[in-house]
Amino acid sequence: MGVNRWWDFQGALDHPATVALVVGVVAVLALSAALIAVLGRAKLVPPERHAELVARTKSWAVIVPLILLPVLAGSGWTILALALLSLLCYREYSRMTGLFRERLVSATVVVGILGLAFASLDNWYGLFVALVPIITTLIAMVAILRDHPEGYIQRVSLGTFGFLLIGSGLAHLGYLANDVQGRPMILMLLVCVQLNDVFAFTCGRLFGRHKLAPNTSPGKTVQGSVGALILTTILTAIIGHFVFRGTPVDTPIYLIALGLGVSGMGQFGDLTLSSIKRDVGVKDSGALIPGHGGLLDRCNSLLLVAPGFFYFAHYVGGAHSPLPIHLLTGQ
Amino acid sequence: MDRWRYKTARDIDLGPAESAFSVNRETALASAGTQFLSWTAIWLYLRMYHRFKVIGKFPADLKPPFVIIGNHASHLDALILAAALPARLRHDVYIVAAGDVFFASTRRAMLSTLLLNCVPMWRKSAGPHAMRQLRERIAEGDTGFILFPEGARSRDGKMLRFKPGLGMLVAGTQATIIPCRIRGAFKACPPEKGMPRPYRIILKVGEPLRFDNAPNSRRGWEEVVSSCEAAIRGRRASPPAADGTPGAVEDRPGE
Repeated sequence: MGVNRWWDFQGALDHPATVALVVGVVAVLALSAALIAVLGRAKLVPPERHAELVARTKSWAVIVPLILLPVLAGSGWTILALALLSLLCYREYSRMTGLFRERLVSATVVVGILGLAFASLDNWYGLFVALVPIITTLIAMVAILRDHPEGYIQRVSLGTFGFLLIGSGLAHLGYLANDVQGRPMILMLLVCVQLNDVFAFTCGRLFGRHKLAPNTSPGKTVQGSVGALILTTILTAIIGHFVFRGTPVDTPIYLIALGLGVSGMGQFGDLTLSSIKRDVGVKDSGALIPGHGGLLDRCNSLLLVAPGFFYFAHYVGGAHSPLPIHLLTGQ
Repeated sequence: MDRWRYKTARDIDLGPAESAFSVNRETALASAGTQFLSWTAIWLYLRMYHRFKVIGKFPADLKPPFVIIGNHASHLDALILAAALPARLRHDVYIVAAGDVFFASTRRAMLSTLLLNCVPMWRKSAGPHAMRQLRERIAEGDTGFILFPEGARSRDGKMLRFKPGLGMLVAGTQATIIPCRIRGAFKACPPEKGMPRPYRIILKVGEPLRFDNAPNSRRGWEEVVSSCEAAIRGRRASPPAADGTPGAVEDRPGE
């Protein structure tokens, strides 16, 4: 154990739920690729719709390995990959809101994100928790240094919000990697949150009648939201039963509560980013993925779920780390 | 609760590679970091290799929008002007660079932007239209530019006549113009030679000029160009049509 666990790719498939999730994801991807190929060959969908489906499948074929590989490769890779994702998401957020022009505030948020990654690698929960007030205080301090009170509250608030939403939010997903069932928990969360989006979209298409929040996100419907809530809860409870087998979480009440939380917070995360974009007045959060908008557009649903899931798993007692704390800082 | 106003990045819709080629590119934390390192290195190089010296000072209250202009005889010129700037202004300043040289390929564009903070000016189309986007940035008030109004490097060390582009950029705006005279750069690094030679380089910073009352028309452009040209040559402004032709506006053949 110890530092080896960071790069412990041999243990990738130790947990049967990990195997099932990886096989499931790859199978779904392969099946949908085959289905789309058949649909295109048989000319069952209009060509432009087919081209769009092919483009989407291709981008998923890139995204899925990019997510799976670090998670399977070890907790160190997972934490570093999530820190990088967090930095890129913060970049988009700061460019949307204009906060990137406040370099000191931005630099403090970046230091905070790196600090959270360090605390996760070190398995130092005390620092991990303390960084939230530390960075918030630091932002309030460095924002004074320009001696330009105009807009002070705005830059402090934007910095704090960005750090909490993106930095702290995604870091909780990374910290899960230190856990015994870190891999299956992270994969489960990613799968459920992604499918939550798919369920909401599909249910909305099939049964959508009443708008959910027309000013925030005109495409969403009440029916889509409720459908996702039901389907994701069922899915999460089933997967959770295997992931949390033998832990206190593995009771019907907790599993259903977890499912409702994942679906609800996933949808709120989506609406959070929609609200930010509407408020600022941009369509996409960025243009990092050609033709697919920004990274933040892709992982918005995770931002609120990750801390929720983390504390649920910790406080209900399903999660515990096998590692000594202070891997790096020593005792 | 009315005062908050978000100023989204001008290049929000562009991917990293597209953004490098855009005049709307904005420096953020990462590029500010690489630029800080490169400007420190460039400043040390100029000081140690060329015994770089600055005569005169940039105004203590200088803030964007501003345009630093100078005579152009060497690739070192932009480095000289930017290195001489006070550190607090350096990240707000963009070098208006020849698109066909500094943005000839994606890799070169990345280096020009990450190390020197260049924005491209395509010389074939450097008319009022191309200047409009730069002018908008000046109007928004958070940007400074470094540019060379001659539009090309002098091949013999003598200053060329200014092109009207500078006028199109600043006539009728709030921008402060700082005319600068660079001496020694042609000897140190002339256009046709490879490695720079260790000659001394001196930068003379002139008095600030403003053209907020100049009309944004051919007449205003000429007014801007002739006063700036005179300021850098170290003479008083003379009427542009002294010999009957508006020389500053005329396009010289062969460029």
